[in-house]
Amino acid sequence: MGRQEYIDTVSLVGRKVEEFVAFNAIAVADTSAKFSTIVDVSKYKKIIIEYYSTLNNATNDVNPIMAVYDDSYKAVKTHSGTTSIPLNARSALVQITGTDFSSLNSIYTKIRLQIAVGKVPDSGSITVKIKGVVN
Amino acid sequence: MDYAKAVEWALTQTYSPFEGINLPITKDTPTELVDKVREYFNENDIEYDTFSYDDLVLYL
Repeated sequence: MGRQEYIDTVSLVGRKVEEFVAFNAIAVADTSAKFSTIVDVSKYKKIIIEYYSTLNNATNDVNPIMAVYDDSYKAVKTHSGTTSIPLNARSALVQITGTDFSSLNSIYTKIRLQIAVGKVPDSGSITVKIKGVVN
Repeated sequence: MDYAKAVEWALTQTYSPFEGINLPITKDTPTELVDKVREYFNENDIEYDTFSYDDLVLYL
């Protein structure tokens, strides 16, 4: 965290890995769903979605969730059949690996992410990044 | 809402990535900067809508 690439929307962080910041330290203050811009993932052979959340509420669990949509707002199901992934870890960096979305970019060429919370946080923020391994 | 004052204050603060270690909040620590700006709003009873680091860049 805390590196210069957050300032740019897209940043090359290695010869074969590209990073897109879908949500850049969002201080969520309502329960409405937030969508990222559309990301072209067609050139990636593997995608990893990472998030870092400090969202907190002193009295209630915030229960943030993330969903993946195609570019026409059709929700993508995970292999387990759900359309959302809980992002319950606080102050932690979590990788969502191929278990859920291993074939995502073989089916969809463009995706967008959605995040939402069950309860309004009273502190903190959330960052979500898509990392793609170039074919 | 006074983003400028909140950012100015946040940039004088530190965060602790590990116990016993305090580092300054800068434009290159987006999560910590946003969290401190939110803390400023809360402590000063300033109402705010959802915002992100991108909304603060103008004030850095």
